[in-house]
Amino acid sequence: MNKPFRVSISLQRHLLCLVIPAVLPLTAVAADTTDVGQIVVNSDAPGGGMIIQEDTPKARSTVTRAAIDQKSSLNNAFQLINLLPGINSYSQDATGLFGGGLRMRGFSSDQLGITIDGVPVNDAGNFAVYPQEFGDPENLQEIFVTQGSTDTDAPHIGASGGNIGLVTSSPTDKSRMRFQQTLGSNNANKTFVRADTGLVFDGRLKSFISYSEAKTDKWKGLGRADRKHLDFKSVLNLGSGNSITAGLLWNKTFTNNLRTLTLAEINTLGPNADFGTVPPQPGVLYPGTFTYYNLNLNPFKDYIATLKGNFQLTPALRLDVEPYYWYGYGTGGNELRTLTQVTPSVMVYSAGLTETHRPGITTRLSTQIDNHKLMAGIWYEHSRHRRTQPAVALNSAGNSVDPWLQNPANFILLASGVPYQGRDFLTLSTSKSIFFQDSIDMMNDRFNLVLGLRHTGIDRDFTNFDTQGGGNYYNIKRSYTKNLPSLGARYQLDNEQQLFFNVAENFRAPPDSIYYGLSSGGIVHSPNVTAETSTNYDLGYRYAGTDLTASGSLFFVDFKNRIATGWDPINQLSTNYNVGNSTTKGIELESAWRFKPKWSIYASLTYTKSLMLQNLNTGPNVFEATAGRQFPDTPNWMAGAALQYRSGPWSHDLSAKYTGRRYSTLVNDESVSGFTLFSLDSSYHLPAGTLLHNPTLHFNVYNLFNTSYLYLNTGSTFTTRALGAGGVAPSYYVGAPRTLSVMLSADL
Amino acid sequence: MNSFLFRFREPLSATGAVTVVFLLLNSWTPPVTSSANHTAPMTVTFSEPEKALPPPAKRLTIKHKVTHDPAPKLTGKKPAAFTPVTPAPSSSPAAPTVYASQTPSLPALPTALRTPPMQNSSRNTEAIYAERVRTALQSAKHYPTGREASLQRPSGTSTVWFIVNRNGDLADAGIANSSGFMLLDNAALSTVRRGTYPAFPNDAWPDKTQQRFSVELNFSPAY
Repeated sequence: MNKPFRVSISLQRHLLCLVIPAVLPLTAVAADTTDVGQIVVNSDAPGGGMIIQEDTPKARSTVTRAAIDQKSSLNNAFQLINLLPGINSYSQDATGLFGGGLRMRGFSSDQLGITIDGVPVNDAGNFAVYPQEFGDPENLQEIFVTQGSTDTDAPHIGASGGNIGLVTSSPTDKSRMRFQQTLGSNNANKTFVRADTGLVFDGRLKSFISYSEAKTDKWKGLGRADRKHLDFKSVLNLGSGNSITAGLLWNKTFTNNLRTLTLAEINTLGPNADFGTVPPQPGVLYPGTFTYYNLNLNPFKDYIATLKGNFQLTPALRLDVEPYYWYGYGTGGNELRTLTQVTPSVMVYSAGLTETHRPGITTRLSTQIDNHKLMAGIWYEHSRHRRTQPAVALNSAGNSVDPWLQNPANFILLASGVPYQGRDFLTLSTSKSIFFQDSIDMMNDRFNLVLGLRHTGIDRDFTNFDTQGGGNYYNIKRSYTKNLPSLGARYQLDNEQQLFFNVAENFRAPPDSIYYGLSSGGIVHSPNVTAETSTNYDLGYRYAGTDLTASGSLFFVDFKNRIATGWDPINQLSTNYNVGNSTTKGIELESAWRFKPKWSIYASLTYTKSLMLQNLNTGPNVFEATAGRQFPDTPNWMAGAALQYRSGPWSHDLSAKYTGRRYSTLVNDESVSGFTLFSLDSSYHLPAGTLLHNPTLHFNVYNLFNTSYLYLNTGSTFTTRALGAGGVAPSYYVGAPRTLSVMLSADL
Repeated sequence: MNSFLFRFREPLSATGAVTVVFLLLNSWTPPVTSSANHTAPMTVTFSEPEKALPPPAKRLTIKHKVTHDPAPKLTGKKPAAFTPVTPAPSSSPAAPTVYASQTPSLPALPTALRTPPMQNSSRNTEAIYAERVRTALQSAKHYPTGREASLQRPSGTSTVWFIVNRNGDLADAGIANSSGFMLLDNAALSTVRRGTYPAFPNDAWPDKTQQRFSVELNFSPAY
């Protein structure tokens, strides 16, 4: 009797899979079969798109298109995930165009792995992340977050915490031209245009291209943000699960920075204090405390080119080949310097300039053998990360003659004829990860066990060129590798309820800042820094019902060898060093409940208790009392909620995010109070016209009740101590006041 | 005790994890292979009610794929009658209340091919049972999640065949027609495996210990 092709087939018979489908009448159902019919399976995203019915055996949260659509088109990715459990995100202003930051389970964004469509976007040298460089939210389909454990096949070598993935939209099946215009407070405006070809060439190809320009003034002080962005994606469908996708993301931002203030400065100067408005006069030397807003900038441009080949070689064998190229160029910070290496000394525009080329490739082979889903692959990347610090002159108006520092003809030369460079580093890094995962389904798919292993490593080749600011030439090579196992288990109690458990090891290679400034007194010190590692445990429960979706997990993170500024006793210098171990434990809960046909509520709750285990060694026999203290900017309690109303053409969201009291220093001698931030996001679908389809009006209010609040200005470097001798007052970003934006969108 | 656990947390948890994995792998039993005992004559079963039936109570719709197996290669007995279900109104014991509204059904066959009353009522029960299987699948269905699903966001249709025993246990399942994506095929098989099926009513497939079903699962990320 003819038996239709079976998935569960042994490895030796894989080759027959190529032959059998051609022979059997695949669409025929055997004579004795009862056809139950067709069932449509959609991925539901309740809570207005704030949660999905997850079944991955690890703590994971997702924000989908429906939720992204409700927020302002000016927002950046970190703002869009702010309500998710475990996320403590901040933005320098309401629009997000100036940038922002993120902490998750106590880890800063430079300790987390961030990808866009699978391409890593953390800085190649120090793993920093700049959310204003990511995509337009209009083209963002979903953002997923794994709070604790980095995914086995994720291309990260700087993630001691979990990972965050941005997924961009596919081109639409129908051709379409979309226009969006946003206007808002502080002269904010954004124009977005996207053209979709729809399915062409017999339904095989679809593409889109979009361009946007967004600008806004700073909400305090002078200056603005200016962002230009282009997205392109093209999908070639070769049939039977095979496709080739090409994508391009291009971003160019030019922003004036917002000034951070210490508590003392807020009290004396007021929260709206910003950089100076008086430009420097030619020929005058200014002290380091002088500021001018137009010399405190962050120009940055980057692009990511991706190509993805996804090939379903047989119904049980899949090959993915995904090369990419990342390029970034820019500078940032307070660019006003006094150059003393020329005679006479002169005020110049000079700050760190970074240029990075990063080609890489991820290759993955997946197969199904009986009840095992196996995946194996390699990620390989070579990055060329060049950091210099030239100086250019100021013009008579006090502005830089070359804010992008891109024309070498502008570089100020020393007496010897060589351009001045405050630093000149070249970091060549070769990163790779060989990964393997086995997902085993047992007990009629009620129990799923995922075993993963990745061998991840990076080879650094750092060269410090001879410069006026950076010391003598030296070259250091170092390698860091680790085997990182992980285990995830999920047990389905019934169709609605599941329990899950996950344990995974994460790894973060030292940033290349550990190689700076090692030349002193004629010798080159050898860095003694080991990688950060952490073991993350999740234990959770999920409920996926018709009107209620909920997920909760207990977590414990065992974090070792945190890297921060500390005392290297071997080299007897203060440098980036391993400063000790810590633990973080807590609870993350989220749920969406549709309590009436038109009303639902999404809520999240996070409890985090971090604990540093050792005192911080900052000098020879000098210790700071950090043992028993909590990490700064890691509040014990955070809560988020969004009340949603959907009826006909109207959609309203009233959201609130409570961020509890946070410490500002490692010794916990300064803290900043908790606050609740409300926002309102509404949209109205206008009646369709003959020419314009889908006309929509959006109205977004950030900080609805004009709450005053402060954010910590942190990465993974914290202020050690505020009080006492040698203490440094930590500085804060002042939270933006109430900000409105209105957007009109229509399709042709 | 606490400090002991903390100091040796790594080897203890590693040992615990390895032990759990070992016990689980040990307890894994291979899937039951179908003991196809198809001694009963093959009959094509359709659930096409006559137009005169009362209106449906349930809101679910069944879109039947009317498929005729062109040449069933049987080694056993030939089917007694190759007929669609067209129950004679007078012989229906009770009006089936669980039929869904149908898309245009087949025209009624000539009287000569209409099945005798006994087989008609068993076919009604079989159709009711198929509806219950459908409900079980609706309850177990899920779109795949995880990094791969988020990045690929596949859509497609997987056709799954599955064999259910008389007592409602799932004997075997497999992919009849792949969607082109392993993720979706796995989710489709998983949906079928997680379903809890009721026991067969006595007059459904009375001569068989098992029945083979097929379902088309149409996946789409939708958001």
